[in-house]
Amino acid sequence: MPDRLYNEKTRRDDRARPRPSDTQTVTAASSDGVVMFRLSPCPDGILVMRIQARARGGRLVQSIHFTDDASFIRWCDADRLKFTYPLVYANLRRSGCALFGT
Amino acid sequence: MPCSAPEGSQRTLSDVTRADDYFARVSAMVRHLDTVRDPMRAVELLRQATLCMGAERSIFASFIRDDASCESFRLLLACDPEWLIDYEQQRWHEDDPWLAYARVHCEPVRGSEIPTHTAAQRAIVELAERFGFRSSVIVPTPSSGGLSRTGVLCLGSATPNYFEGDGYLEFKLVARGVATEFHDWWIARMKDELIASAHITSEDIVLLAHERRGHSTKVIARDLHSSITSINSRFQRLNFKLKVPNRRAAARKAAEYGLI
Repeated sequence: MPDRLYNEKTRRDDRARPRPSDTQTVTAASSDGVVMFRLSPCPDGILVMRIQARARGGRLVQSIHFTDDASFIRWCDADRLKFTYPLVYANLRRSGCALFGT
Repeated sequence: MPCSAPEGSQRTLSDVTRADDYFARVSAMVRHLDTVRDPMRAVELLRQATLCMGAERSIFASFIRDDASCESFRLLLACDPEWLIDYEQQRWHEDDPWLAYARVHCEPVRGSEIPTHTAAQRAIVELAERFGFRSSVIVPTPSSGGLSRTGVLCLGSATPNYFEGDGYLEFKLVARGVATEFHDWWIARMKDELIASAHITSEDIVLLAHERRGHSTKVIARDLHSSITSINSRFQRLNFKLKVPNRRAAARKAAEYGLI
């Protein structure tokens, strides 16, 4: 059923793609709901919320302030989940850099 | 009222806490928490409050036991977040001497006063030092009533022994208040989150409060002018909404998240 497959793929891609939930906040999430990000600009950098469903149950919610794009990129690159969700992390990085204006 | 970072400025803790407006500046910063709903904005306030207090970086961790096997952690990071990536990868929550201290104590303490007994504990403290917590203060915010939810504010400085000298008493006093405010703020957000995600009504909360007090179905039915069958089916729906196996667990979860 090509149409159905196409629709499922589209839905997956749509979830991974960052999208503005209001004029300033951008969100990106993995299709399986394991990891989700919200990014928002602030006067001296960007604010990021990372929500991860933990393997043994429960959630890990981190709220982080970044003052420069270098530290943000380092943080993105250090996260091992980027190997599982490369599309999400590529979008995360691109969205963060866009908010920094770089 | 912005506060400048003491890092690299050679200021001592005593220099910061001796200022006439020390308490006023910190409380003015924390007062803004009332107007904040978003954790991303709260982390900005935490960073400002940390600097006003005289520390350089901080992390506020709130943890709650969802059931017997799993815990949820919520963190506000006013520090280098790469620290947490290393920490998570090593699964160090269970070995962390600072968290272990916060689970069973209510008194703020310097990190140097918490003993490390194992190689894992020493590695955790060394990791914190690498990320700018060479001198640290751990401020627990426990909950009463046998609840698992606990918060801990960790404040740090890259200057060795920064918190060991004069000014610690004033710092401790202020840090305790700030930690409590952030803990209360998290509980309120978690409560809002649960009400919204599980569609909890005011009638549900009344029902859960009865269960928490140990009332039987018969007593609850009489009190709410309802039938036993109706009360039982309402509890069944509540268990489903709260994703718990029974009404006792539902009442416990409601208490943990501040609903009752």
